Amino acid sequence: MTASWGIRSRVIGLAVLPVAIVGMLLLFQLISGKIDDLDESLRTRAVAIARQLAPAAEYGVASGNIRVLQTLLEKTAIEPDIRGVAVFTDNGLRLAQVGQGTWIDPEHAKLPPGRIHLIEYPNRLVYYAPITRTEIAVDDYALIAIPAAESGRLTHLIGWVGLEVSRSATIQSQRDAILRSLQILLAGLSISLYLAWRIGRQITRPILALTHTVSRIGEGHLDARVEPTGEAELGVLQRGINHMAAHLQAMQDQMQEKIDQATARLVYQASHDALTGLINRHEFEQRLERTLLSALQQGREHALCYMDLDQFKVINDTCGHAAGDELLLQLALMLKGNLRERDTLARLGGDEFALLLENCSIKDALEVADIFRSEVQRFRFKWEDRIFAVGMSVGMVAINRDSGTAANLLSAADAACYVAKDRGRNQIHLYEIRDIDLARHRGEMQWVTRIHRALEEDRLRLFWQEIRRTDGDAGDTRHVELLLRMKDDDGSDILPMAFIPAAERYSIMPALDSWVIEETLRLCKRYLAVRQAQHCLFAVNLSGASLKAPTFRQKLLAQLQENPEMGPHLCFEITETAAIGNLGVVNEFIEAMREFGCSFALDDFGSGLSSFIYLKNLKVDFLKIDGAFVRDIANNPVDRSMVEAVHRIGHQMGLKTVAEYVESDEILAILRQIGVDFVQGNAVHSPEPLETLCGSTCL
Amino acid sequence: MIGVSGQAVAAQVAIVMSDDSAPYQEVYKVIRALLAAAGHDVSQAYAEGLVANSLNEARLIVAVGVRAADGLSSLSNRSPVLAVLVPRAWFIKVGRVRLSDGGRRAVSAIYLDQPLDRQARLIRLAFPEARRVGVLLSAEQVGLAGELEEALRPQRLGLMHATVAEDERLIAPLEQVLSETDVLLAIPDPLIFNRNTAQSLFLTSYRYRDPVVGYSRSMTRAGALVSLYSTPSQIGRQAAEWTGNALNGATVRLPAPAHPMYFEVSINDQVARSLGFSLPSEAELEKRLGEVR
Repeated sequence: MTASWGIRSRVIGLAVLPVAIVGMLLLFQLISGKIDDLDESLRTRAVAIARQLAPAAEYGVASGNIRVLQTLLEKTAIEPDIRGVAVFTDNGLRLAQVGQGTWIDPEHAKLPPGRIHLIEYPNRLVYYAPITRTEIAVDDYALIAIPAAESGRLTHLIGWVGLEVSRSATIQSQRDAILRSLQILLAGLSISLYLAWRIGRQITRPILALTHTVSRIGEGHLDARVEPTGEAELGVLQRGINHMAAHLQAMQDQMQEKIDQATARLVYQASHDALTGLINRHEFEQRLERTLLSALQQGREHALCYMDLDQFKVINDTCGHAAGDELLLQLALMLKGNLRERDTLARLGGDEFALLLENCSIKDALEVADIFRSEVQRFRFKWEDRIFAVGMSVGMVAINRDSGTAANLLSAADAACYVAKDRGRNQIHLYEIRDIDLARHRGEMQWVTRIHRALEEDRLRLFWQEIRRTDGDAGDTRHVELLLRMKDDDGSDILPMAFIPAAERYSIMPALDSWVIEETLRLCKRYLAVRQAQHCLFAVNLSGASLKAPTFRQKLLAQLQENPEMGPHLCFEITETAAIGNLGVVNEFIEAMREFGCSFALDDFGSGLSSFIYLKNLKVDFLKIDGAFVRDIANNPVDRSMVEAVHRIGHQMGLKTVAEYVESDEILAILRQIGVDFVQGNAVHSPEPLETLCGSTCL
Repeated sequence: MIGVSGQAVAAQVAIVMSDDSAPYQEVYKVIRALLAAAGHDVSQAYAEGLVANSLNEARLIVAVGVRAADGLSSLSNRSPVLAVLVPRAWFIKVGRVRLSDGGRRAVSAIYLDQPLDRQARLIRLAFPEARRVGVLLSAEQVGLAGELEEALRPQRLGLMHATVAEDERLIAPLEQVLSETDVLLAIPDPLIFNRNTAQSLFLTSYRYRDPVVGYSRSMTRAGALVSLYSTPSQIGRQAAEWTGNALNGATVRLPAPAHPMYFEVSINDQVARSLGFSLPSEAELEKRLGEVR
């Protein structure tokens, strides 16, 4: 009730309750009054009848005339409510009776003779009225004195009249009265209820409308309004609520607009790259999923390109991040300009971009990608007073019915891009399943941590492999290449080809090279101290990344300045690829090192870009022919020709040639026949730990 | 002489009344007025506290009512006594003997009762059709039946009487009488007609449509159709006349006891109408009763 009463119930209650209470009280009063009146009236009537009947019966009693009495009683009994009448003599003898009646003997009951006596029963009243003698004067003179005894004997009471009246009529009319009054009350209450309902409705309808509107507003329907019904308090309330709702609605609309804008911004930000405005990796992956789905379900052909800038790191490192960002921005704008309608270009992060070419055959895709690549190649980035050229390596993968997941596609494209980079940059490589590069690439990330751990835990070791003269002449100089090995957890040695690619990709090479240089210098110092008899040339590899790092170069120079006597004992093997990136810098470095008597070798020549122009410009002493050619030299005339050509050119340029990967005597014989100056390989000398080089003193 | 006569006159008559009620006073006033006019002196006394000395001077004593007469009878006084307003039956049976005191005192009376023949004549005059007259008598007055019968006979009226024993109910004998008579004659008898019995008696007689002939003005008022009686002033007048005559002689000599000489008739017109009787007027009846006599 607190259950809660509604306002309508309250109003109706307020209107009806007083009526009900007053009605009940009045009814009670009326009924009790009416009942009292009826009872009183019955009593009064009965007393009157008894009082009149008593003298009327005097004669009959006095005369003993029962017939007269009977007549009298019959006349009396006609009166309503009378159940019976009877007449008794003064000694209790019943002289006459009419109707029913249960009588007592008035004489024995010793009723007082002076008045009418009443005996009450629940449903009847019995009256006994004394019959007294009426005195009438007959003598004009009191002739004789009446003796005292005489007057005592002469009592005036001569009998009784009994009158029994029924109260049933009273009770009946009492019931009738209650019933009627209840009906009137009910009718009155019904009318009151109806009127209260009508009046209450006038009051509650606007309030309920208000309540309804307010709850609708509370539920968020801010367009809900109350219909104004008047000017009174309710009117003020209604207008107030309407005003409030309108205000709320306006505010909500504004807020919604702001939220929409912010949401759109967030959505945009979530799906776009902040710098270039291209879509980001996340969004791109989703589009890729959709595209993949269409390929899988509808058999369409699409192409995915993974694009990596070739010289971004150089610009970023030499000119700062602002320049890098600016380069990315300009390239993005340019690439966007070349997009077809259905193409999707995204920046995946760093200098990596992705291009999704929908409904595009691989042939067309290759053309499109080549347009992109060539555009980038033509592009010149100007920063302050410097101008840079950049290239772009593109890995491409076809999206067709046979494609795996989107993640697979992306990693395949990445792998292809890596291959493209690895193959000399600024080119497009179409992914092939048999790409062994892929496996290597996939292991890179693990290697990063292992390399760092190996550096920290001193697990790196140097092995030595002798580079001998092809003619077998020992000569006065011992030529040794120091090879890097990593000690695995199980104690086995890991070859550098396993972890160097990861180290190159993730810029660990300078650290590794520094370690190698330091070890080499230490070794060299000790070797010189122990065995000065034979001149020994220690060859170490320098990666492109190390060469590019100014700090590394300065440190190396500083070390040589400290130990100038070691210069003639050091030979630095650099790859063609490493040199190409910064030809000018590398040449400067080579010049500086040569001052100390250091010698240089161009490593792995023949693979990669293998440009004779670079060869011409690089001032090296040795030219190491790539093992890929040497390996099959016995069976492959082309390889043999290549080796011969390289050897001849090297000789023409005044370089000493070295053949790697000499695994058999047959190869050695051929090389000897060709005239290659030096050979290196398991057939000549297998790598050995440093201990074997100069004993424990070298360690 | 004047003094003597004055003194003699002053003490000549004493009137003793039963009490000071109105009828006795009226009797006294009438007697005194008439005697005083004749030059007699009249004194009054009451039965209660009466002493002989106060009456010594009186030459004649008038006793008004039974109790006055009774009171006198016990005194030693020897003056003659005239009893008025006393029932005849009482006087004859009790009063005369007591008052005469063994003959030593002269006694006379004017009865209260009307003479029976006068009553008989009234019945005849009032109810010419009547044949039989009913009477209720108490045991004491049974002797009256003969006298009544004798008085009625000249008027060709028969008598039907019933005797009521003491404690017996009146109605049964009354109905017996009424059923056989035309008129009920009421005889002064306290055992028959009294204040308590009157209504029943009257009502019963009405039921039988028999008129009641009463003996007092009160009875006419109470329901008797016609009554014959003497008023106190009429009694007083007669007593004064008798006294005056008696005092005129050298010795006081009173006439023999007699019924009242003067009388009056009263009729209850309502009862007459109810019972369907048409009677001559009161004056007419009085006149006719006087004539015959």
